[in-house]
Amino acid sequence: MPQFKQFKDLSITFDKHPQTGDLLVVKNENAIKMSIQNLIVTMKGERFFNSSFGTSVSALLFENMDFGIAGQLQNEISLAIAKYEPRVNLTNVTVLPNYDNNGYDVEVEFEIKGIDIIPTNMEFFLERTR
Amino acid sequence: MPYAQLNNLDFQQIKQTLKDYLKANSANGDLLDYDYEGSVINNLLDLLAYNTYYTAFNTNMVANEIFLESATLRDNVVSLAKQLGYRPRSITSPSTTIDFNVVFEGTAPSSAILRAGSAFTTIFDDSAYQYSVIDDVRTSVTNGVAEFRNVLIKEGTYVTTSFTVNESSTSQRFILRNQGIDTSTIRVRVYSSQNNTSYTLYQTADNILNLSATSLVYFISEIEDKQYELIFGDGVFGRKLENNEFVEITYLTTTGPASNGANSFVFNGILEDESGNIFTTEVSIVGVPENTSGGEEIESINKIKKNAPKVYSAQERAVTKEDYAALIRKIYPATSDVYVYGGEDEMPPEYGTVKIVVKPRNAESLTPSTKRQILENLKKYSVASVRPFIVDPSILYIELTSNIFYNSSSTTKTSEVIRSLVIEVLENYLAVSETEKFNGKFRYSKVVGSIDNADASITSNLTQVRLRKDFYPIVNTPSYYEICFQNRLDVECDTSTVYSTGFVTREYPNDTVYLEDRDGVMVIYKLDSQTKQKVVLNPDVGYVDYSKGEIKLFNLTIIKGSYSTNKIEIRVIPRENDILAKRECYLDVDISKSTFTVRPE
Repeated sequence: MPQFKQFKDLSITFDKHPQTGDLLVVKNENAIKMSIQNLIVTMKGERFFNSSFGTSVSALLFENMDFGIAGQLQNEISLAIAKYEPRVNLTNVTVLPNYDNNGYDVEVEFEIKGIDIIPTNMEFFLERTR
Repeated sequence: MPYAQLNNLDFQQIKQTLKDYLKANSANGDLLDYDYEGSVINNLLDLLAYNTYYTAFNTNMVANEIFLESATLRDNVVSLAKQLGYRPRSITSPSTTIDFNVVFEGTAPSSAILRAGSAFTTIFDDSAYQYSVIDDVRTSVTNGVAEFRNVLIKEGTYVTTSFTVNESSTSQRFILRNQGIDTSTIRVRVYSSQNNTSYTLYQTADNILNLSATSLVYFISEIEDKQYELIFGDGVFGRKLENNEFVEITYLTTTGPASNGANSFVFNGILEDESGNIFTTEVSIVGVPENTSGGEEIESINKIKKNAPKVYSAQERAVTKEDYAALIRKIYPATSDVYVYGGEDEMPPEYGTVKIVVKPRNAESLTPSTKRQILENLKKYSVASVRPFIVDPSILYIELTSNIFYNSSSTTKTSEVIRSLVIEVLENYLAVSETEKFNGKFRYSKVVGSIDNADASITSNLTQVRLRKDFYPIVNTPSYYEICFQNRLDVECDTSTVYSTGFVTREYPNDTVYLEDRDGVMVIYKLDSQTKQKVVLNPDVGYVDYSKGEIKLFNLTIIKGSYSTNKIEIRVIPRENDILAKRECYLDVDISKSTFTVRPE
């Protein structure tokens, strides 16, 4: 029987495990979600010697909020995941302006390659920060 | 083991090495996501790799800056040159000597003084420049006229800086904060106090030889940002300054070579008598001064790297040819190239002499006064029994006639723009190649390649080479002339191989005549005023040795040359396109007299 390769990463919070005292570790689906979130909030040019890594989401969030910008955000997120997250097959990205809260509701749906399970989705809210 | 690789200096390689390490050490499944750019562990790897890269770069940079050959920052290069006892040359102001008379009407003083800093002005290349004397110049007044002769003037603004010695301060430094200081114009006067009027003049010292505890000397040191610091004696080598002594330093700040070649001056200085009374009176310049020369930029980093070891090896004495070459560059910075040979190589031999051929920048040869100055300065380095002589270089000019073709559909540039590009590329090539120098070599294929590469739209070029020598005849005197091109001449071309600009001879005083070769014989002809056909006047005035590249003219009495200086230009077509110059022959590609024609294909 084929064995599924595990994904294992450090938690971005850098909290320690209450019992062992080691840094917290995230695995599989959660590791991938954290990686995607990290990718989306990284500005292009922010990473050393890898200027194309990341998205222009931060800049777009300071534009006037409308569906056009939502479309651009959707495009940015899709392209970044397709290029820098080879562990997933992206199935859908939805970005909708949330006028009441001055941000965008984002839903990303994807399948993890090599795992025969139902598609995974992650939802988060994008808002501009200084 | 991958982690043992310590030679990676590239960020990506360092990061890959860290990944390899994790791969080799996480078999039990510790951390696996280092390959994915979005993962946190990948972020950490970035940070570690950047830290390593940063440290490696710094270490590499520091290691480079330790050595003269690899240092890149001027401050470090200057500092390393200091260790070799070499002080990089400052910017140098152009200078000339000038004669002028001051005529007094009525009561005249017994003597007239031109104060240091007093100036002449000149307009050169549409810019105004100020020329000053750097020391007071005195002359006596005879019959109401003060005759100032051979007054040395230098371009620059006269600046005075003063310090009061403060022994209680351990950090007092004597720094001249201005840029563009010509250090040869620095004068240091030390007064016992600020209110005292009598002073002692201090001299610059380059080394500690012959210095005592009472020597009135100072040392100059270039510090950061091309500024200079004066360092006075410590009471062992040179007199130590005492508390409250007042140090007055004067110098010129110059624009360097910008006004090289000026020779028209207007007086606007200050004339005084011995009592300090200023008088305004008529000043008339006598004759035409020699063109200003010697202006030069501050010594570049590359030149410091090249010259410092050579001057160090010369050890302040001129013995070998290389010593002379190094010291000439030190004495006269505006030197383009130097060639030195012993008098025993002359024909006939001149034992006990050394011949120095100096090609100055922006001029064909040195002025007589500059030669005298160089020889005077060279005396202290020379071996007693050897007499140095400065010889004018023989300049072999190369002129190009280039037809350049370009694809007009692949560029929006005009022919004129492409022509400018070609000239710029050629000048850049000549600046870095070994062409324009003594023993220079003109590589035809490199030049043709440079023209082709000047712009992507250039498809080809047809370039012809011709050589030119300028000679100055002895006017009104029957003379024998030998003009040597040092390269074989073409004998197969349909037209003449040798041709000259027009001149006038005693035999044909009413005609402008020309030289050309016909089957190895030099003839003189004129152009018929009506038909413009060549009319041979003298069918045999000399001959051409095509294999040696020599032209000999016999018993020719020239009364007027082609230009106001009586210069005559002789051009030849060489057999080979690669041109070599030997010995005192200086190779110079004359872009201004070359022709570049750009045509669409």
